[in-house]
Amino acid sequence: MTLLEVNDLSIRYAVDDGSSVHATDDVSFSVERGETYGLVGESGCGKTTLAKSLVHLLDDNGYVENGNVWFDGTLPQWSDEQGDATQSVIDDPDKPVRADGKTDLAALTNAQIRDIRWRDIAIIPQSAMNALNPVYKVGDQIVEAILRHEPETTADEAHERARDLLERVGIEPDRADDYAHQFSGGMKQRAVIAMAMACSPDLLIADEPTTALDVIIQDRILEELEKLQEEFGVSILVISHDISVMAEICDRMAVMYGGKVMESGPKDEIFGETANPYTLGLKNSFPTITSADQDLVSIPGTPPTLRDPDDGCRFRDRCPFAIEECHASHPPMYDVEAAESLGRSEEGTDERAHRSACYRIDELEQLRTDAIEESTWTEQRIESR
Amino acid sequence: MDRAEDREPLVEIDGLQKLFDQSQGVVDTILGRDPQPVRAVDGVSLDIYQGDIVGIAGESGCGKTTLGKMLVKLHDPTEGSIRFDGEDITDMTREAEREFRKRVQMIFQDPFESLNPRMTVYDTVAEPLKINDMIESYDERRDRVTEVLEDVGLGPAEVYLDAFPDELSGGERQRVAIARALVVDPDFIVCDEPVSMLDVSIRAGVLNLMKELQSEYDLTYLFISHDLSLIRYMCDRAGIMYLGNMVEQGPTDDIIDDPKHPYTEALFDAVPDVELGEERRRANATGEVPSPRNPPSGCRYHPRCAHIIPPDDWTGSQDAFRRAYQFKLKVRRGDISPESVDSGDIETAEALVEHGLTLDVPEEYRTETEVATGGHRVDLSAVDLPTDTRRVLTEAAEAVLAGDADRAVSTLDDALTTSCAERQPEPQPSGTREVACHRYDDGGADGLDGSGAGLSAAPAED
Repeated sequence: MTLLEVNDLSIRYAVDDGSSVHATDDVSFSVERGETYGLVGESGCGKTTLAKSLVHLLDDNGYVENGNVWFDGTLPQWSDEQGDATQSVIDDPDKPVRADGKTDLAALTNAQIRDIRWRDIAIIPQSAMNALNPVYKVGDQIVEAILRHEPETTADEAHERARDLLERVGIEPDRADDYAHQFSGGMKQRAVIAMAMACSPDLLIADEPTTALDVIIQDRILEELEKLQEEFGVSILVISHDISVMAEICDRMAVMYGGKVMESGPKDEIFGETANPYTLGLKNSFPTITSADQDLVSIPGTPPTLRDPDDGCRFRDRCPFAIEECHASHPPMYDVEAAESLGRSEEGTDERAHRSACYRIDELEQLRTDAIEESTWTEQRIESR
Repeated sequence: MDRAEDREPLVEIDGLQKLFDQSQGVVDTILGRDPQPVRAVDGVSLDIYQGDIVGIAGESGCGKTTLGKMLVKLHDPTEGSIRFDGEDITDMTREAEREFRKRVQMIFQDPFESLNPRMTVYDTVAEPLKINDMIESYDERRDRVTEVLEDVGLGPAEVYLDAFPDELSGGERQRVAIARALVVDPDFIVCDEPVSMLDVSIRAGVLNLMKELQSEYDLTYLFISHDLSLIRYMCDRAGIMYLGNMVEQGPTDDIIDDPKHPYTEALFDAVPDVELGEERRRANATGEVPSPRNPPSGCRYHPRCAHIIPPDDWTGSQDAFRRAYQFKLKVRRGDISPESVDSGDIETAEALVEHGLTLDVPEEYRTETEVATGGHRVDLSAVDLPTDTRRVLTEAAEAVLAGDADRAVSTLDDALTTSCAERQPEPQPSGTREVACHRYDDGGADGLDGSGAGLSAAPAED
């Protein structure tokens, strides 16, 4: 069952001189119920913008240019007892709900999205260490969220639940009466996770959930996220620049570059049968702890600025495999399986399958062989300035 | 990785200590409290040989940056000595210090902060030459800067000379910072997390550049990083720090492939890896790093250690001792209170013991009952505790229930002792490296015999 379906989402940041920054461009992906989906990419690739836009948390100058965010869930006033959208709402052309009951979050007003946030989609912000209010008790902050979204709950029940949630993430329930500064870094992160789970959301958006943490604590938090998923069946959309963290927790993922999805599909296929020049380059450039002798090769050049970019492939300036076609337009997502077995370029329509945005997908074997060679990357001339 | 005995060490660090904030507040003075300094680096000894890349790894707050800064004289040590090329740098004449500053340089973590935004690339890179009165004429200086910029991959240099930092990308800025360090042709460079602020695709370029420059300029590096895979990629030798102590040092590959110190083991287990995927073991360590203001006695890692040593007369399993010891720590910290367990339980003291014996570790190291109760309770029958200890724990639990925490603590203190908490382990040679752990006290013999659980063996459970 698809929980979240993002179709051709483009987000812009308006700039004073009338141009705009194309933070994401025609991004499509879908998240199933109970799975962990990863968005990985370097800084400035649009991954955080994308996640924030799902729940209307963009900065003031950010706006959705086009695209839909279909979410399997709807506003409380539009739903029946089971939480599904009522038929009259579906039939109403003014309401952004389609026949299968999914609601377009991008079309909701800011007042409406407040009923979705936390209740249906909760977010663990990037600097979760600083996300707790220092002047409220940690437990009270969780209670506040519960009472806002489930007004029928009594205060006592809410307090009981807050303590229960803290215990579930490995914090002594008594600590609910402490303030944030009395918590260690790892405990703050756990508390923020507990808080995000307060209203049993269907989707948890975790933006760099472990970036500020030391590795041993990071290890525990990753385990915690896995356990929560097992227990509650919550879907997790995790955003990170750390490829090894992604490799560990994701079921499927999308590799983003310059506001575009370059490659997406099941994690094992992305790492095992990498099909995009950018991902191939990325794999060459990060060290692993297990291998003693390795030669790292960096991708020459720097990521593009996204202010009014042209139509060509976003990666072409740094890509050793770029051809004429790449300058004309950004490639569509091709089906990797078809390219591998039949050696032909076929646009992939199945969002769950392994897809790659590269015109030379039909020469995949050759690309993979060449990408391992260091000279492939170093011998191209890049005009960086 | 042989340690050529005929080579002279370039840097000799002996018993180095740095305490911060030894001053007292007014309130502390009035109340007559002793000052409690932060023990950032506490008794570190290390030799760095000419031409090596030595990595220093550890979690945040372990003192690795403070160590690096002392080596370039940005901090003065509180105790101990640093000898650079045979000369003690803590006690130098002005003249000698000028000479020293030409030979030692530092590359900082964040190239977005370490470059002056109002200085051009030329000004930035030429500044060390001016300060050190190295090249008098402008033309020669410009030639030297151009040469160095091209060496660090910023060529043609003319394009960059008059650029300001905000016109450069992160990778280019860090290259400027490297050029600034290289321009005086130093012998030794301290690199403090040189690539942690750079994007993954750029990092490899900077790392490879640093390796190339090492042979070209005949450099010795101290490479500080929290990222163990980077340490593995860059360094010949590595030192692992924990709370101001050097717990293990030796050839990098040996340390990573076969960690001897329990902390090193936990640290490497915690690193996620693309290749290992789901087969990776998680880190077997409890809790978090304690405050360096009041570090634990003895071995600083003992409260979190999976291999804590039971006393000689201990008849139970090592795992049982670890659990009992955790119980003691929890009581001491006040983490265990009568509310910790449901009062509905029939025998509350026993329930409290069962709660207190749980370990805050990843699931794979827990017992069945712990997994089922979310780490809230452990089945007493699954813990191989000696009868005496069991009685003591129950006594302590009863004291806690009666609200007498002091009595509980003293009961436990008498019964549960470990050499790990009593004496600080001295670094012992063990094979190719030095390990500061009591399990290696007997001249590097396999200290695991007594504990019954090997580092590479499966979890100490069952």
